[in-house]
Amino acid sequence: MKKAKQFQFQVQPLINNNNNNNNNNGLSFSYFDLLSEEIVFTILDLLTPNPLDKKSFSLGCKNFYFLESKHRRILKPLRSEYLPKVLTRYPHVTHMDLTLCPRVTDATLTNIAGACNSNLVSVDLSMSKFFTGVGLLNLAVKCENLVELDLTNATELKDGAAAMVAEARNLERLWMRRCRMVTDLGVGCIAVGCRKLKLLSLKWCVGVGDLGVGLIAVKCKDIRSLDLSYLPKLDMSSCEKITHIGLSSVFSCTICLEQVTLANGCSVNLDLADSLNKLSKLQSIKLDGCPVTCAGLGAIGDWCVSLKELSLSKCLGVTDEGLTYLFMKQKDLRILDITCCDKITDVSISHITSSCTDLSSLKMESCALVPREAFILIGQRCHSLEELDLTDNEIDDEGLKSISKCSKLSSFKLGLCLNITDEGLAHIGMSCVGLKELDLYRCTGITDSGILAIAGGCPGLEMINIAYCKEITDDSLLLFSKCAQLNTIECRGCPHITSLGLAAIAAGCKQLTKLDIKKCYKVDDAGMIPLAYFSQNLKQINLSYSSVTDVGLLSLASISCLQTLTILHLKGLTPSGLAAALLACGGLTKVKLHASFKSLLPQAIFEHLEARGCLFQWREKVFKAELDPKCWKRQLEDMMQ
Amino acid sequence: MASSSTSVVVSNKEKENKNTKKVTLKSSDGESFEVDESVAMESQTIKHIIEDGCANNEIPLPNVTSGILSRVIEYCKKHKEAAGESEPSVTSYTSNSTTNPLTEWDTEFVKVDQNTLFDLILAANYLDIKGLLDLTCKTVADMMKGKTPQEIRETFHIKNDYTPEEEAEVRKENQWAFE
Repeated sequence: MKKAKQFQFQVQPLINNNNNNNNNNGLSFSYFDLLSEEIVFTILDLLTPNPLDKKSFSLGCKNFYFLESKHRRILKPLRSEYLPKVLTRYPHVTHMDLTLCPRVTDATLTNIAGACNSNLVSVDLSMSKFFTGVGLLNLAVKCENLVELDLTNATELKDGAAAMVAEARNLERLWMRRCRMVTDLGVGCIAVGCRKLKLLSLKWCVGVGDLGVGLIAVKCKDIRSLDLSYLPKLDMSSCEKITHIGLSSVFSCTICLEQVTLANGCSVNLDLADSLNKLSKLQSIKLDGCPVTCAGLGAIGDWCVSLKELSLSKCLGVTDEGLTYLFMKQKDLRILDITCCDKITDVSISHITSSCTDLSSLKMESCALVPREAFILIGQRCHSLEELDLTDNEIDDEGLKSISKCSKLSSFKLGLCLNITDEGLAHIGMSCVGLKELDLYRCTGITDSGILAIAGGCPGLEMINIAYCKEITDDSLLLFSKCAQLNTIECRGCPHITSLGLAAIAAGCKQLTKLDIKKCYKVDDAGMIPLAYFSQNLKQINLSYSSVTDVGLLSLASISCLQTLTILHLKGLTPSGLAAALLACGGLTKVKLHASFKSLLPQAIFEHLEARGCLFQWREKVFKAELDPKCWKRQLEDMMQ
Repeated sequence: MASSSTSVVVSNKEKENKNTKKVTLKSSDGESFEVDESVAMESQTIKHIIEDGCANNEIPLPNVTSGILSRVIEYCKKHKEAAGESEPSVTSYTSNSTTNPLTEWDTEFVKVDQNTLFDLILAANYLDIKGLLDLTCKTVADMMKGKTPQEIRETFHIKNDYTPEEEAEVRKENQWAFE
């Protein structure tokens, strides 16, 4: 029971007489002085989502700097050379996100372990490659409260390193996606060491089989979520890797299991589905890419007590018959993915919408046999929908009008839906005020007036894709500049867009993180300067085929967190300009450019950049047909001079 | 001070019968405010005082002036009404509450000068009224969003005690060291 707080400060402000401040109004007292640390922390908690705001705060005065340093719990370092200073500045970090740091070595990890000690609860190493078991051991031993570790993409990590991870005794969540060199031995060490493990992802860990997974099942009694996708399967006759028999025995041990992912694994037939009956707590099953049978689906319907999430994305064998039975039994479904189930028709949609009225997420990209009328049912019956993916479907404006009744809609994908127009979009703009993501990829029927409805009606928009919506002009970008939360804009292939529109976006959308203006031929350096000045959160940009030159590219170097650069077919790009830009952009981790540049720059530059943590992806792609071949060749010759 | 023999301890069961029970709050400058007990109990501090049986029907609040107290009471009344007769209202300011009818009222409520705003923060903290504390803190946070350091200093009358070299160093670190 809380006692009434002791109030320490007078409410009347105290005017300080001896002041030599530089404020014009002569008041040297700030109301901020009245606030306790706890209250300032509450204010800082609410100073989201733009990271620049807390940075501005820290520059206000030394007291603000001190308060912000004490407050920060989540740290995302950009350059490892600054890390020691930053770790001293922020002594209370609990979550270390190293995905923006291009080069994380054992020394980096040791540094972090020593500085953060038992404060550290979570480390994300999912984009890092340069560390080994040595760094991991330091982390595991010094940070005894480490609960969450993401080692996705650590493709060089072997069993020895996995054994070091096992020293993190309190680990509850571990992701090891794509750790392809880890075998049953490494996973076994983890099973024995990390007894509190609740979530484990071994997606793409092709070296792991029945033995490793079985050990996890036996030793980690608290396991709730298991991702075994893409673990190779062999014939049922060979028991070397994951088989349905192995899974069956896994399931009999992991009775707390709430979530299972078996993407691209065994065939989901009756035997496998029957083994699911042991998992009374099972709420989520993901079977992406697994061939399923009607009997298998039926068994899932029968055995699963109350399934909340089901994914049959790209599963062969999904039919109206199987789904109808399943949905008669499973009425509590909230999340359903039937992407590419191209055999199902409006019969399935009718059953889904009448049984599962609480559906919050429905993904049905490319369900080719579903007619346009079926989409009207979705809008009529499933009003809890927050996420809807109707990419590549027959939906038309009538369907959109109906779906606009789903007022909670937050993410809506309509890519490749060729039957929709501005009229349908206007309905969405009027009713779905909470819309955050909208994908209109290649919806050629959409023009500026459709965008007007959306930008005006959905001020919380965070992500927009209008790629190849050829009618879109700068007017739409001007409208989007009012959506202050926008962080992702994909407008590739919009030939009417110019630097003017881009400048508006840069000034208005301070959260801009990802920008794709490929094939926006009219965008030039004049668009890059505003980006360089305003868009301090920009991480990823695609400038291919635009009119940006050396100057524009170099100006982007002032964006400190720029990581990914795609610059194919920039006719204004010279080898020396490219070199200057690559060297100046210190945080680059991925650059996609034309293979012709490989021989045009000194090898030493690429080696230096790769050592700095930058990956190069070379493309041989020929310039698209807009320009005749002679012109292109001449440009290439120009570049070689 | 009247020595009342009636106990003021309220249990959850009795709450229904005490709908019209009133309690008096006294500000630091001696003004008394009579409010419904259920409204007053939006403040966890007051709730505990009442539940501990220390109320005596008049609760002194020496740290809150009458001007601020009347506003706080206005807030509590409005939010209590909106929540109905059930649990004390818990309003979340982290979600996009565009459909929440209280949002507009709240927005108007915090359109006050800085002096009053900060007094409201302190009062909400002392009286432990989470909704009001979150609302007022969010208002302050919103006043800082999108501003440069100098603009923040000007808004809140902060004295810049950085030397130019120190400031440049922090600026550099902020820009290049982390997100």
